[in-house]
Amino acid sequence: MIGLGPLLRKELLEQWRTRRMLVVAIVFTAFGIGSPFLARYTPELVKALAGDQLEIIIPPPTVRDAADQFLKNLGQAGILTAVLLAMGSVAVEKERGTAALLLSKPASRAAYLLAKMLGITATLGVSLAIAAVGGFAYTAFLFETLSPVNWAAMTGLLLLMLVVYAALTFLGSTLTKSSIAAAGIGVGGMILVAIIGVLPGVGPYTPGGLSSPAMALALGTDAGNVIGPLLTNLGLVAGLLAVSWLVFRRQEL
Amino acid sequence: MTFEEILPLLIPLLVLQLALMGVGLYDLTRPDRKVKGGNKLVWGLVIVLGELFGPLVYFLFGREDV
Repeated sequence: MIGLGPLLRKELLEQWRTRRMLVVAIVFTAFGIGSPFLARYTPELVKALAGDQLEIIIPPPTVRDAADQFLKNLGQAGILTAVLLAMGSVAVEKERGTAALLLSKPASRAAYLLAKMLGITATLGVSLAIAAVGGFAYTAFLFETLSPVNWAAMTGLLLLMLVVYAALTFLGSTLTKSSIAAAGIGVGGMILVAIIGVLPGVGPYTPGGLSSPAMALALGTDAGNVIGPLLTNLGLVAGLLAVSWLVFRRQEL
Repeated sequence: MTFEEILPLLIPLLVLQLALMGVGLYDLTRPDRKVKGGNKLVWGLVIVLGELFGPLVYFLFGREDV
């Protein structure tokens, strides 16, 4: 793949110099450490707000609640961030003419797309890793210490889920010259995946279906079949990138 | 649970929120910074009132020449 190294270096530098990586890392870390905190103190806050007049029975929070909050909060914030990061990645450079300028140098279109997607993945991955360290520490302090390897495995599955949604939006960004339209395609794809996930037997293989084994992995319980959903989602990312390339290689820039 | 008990755990969250806002406002107030729509006040409000996502939206879409 001609020019992948320099293009990837340019992408990573851009993610850092435009402060995208820093800002996403701060946002994810806030959600990462905020999740166990909320899991621990929300029942007490509800009780305090309800006062003595209402008798509310809330079971004491457990480490499961902390992992659940972590997955839910970072899942939602992460999907939104993945869409925001990917929506303008190719579309804006096509609109500004930067893509044509870059590809006038010895670099293939496949390398250009792969470098862009790897840049987005790096931002999501680094940010999620920092958030996971914070979330792990807060969970250990407020509840109990889970296995760091299991927590890392959960984070890995969460990252894969975000990368699938980023790849969906990335395809949209390749198809159009408008970042808003790209976001629309990304969100439309997410809805489509959610609908497909309702079909019997398909749900566990969708990106959203990764959250159940991720939760089980974090808690060290039986995660069931992880390899199938893992390979399916990796294949989905590869497939979306391949379609992006098929579209992009014939486009007039 | 008392406020004094949870304060040490809340401080890192507050620091992150303020850091995010600070980085956003620092970038916005650079004299050479041009923003989408041309109105820095609007983007300032997005950064300050948009909680965690406000600065993120500014860094991804607010700047003209990035």
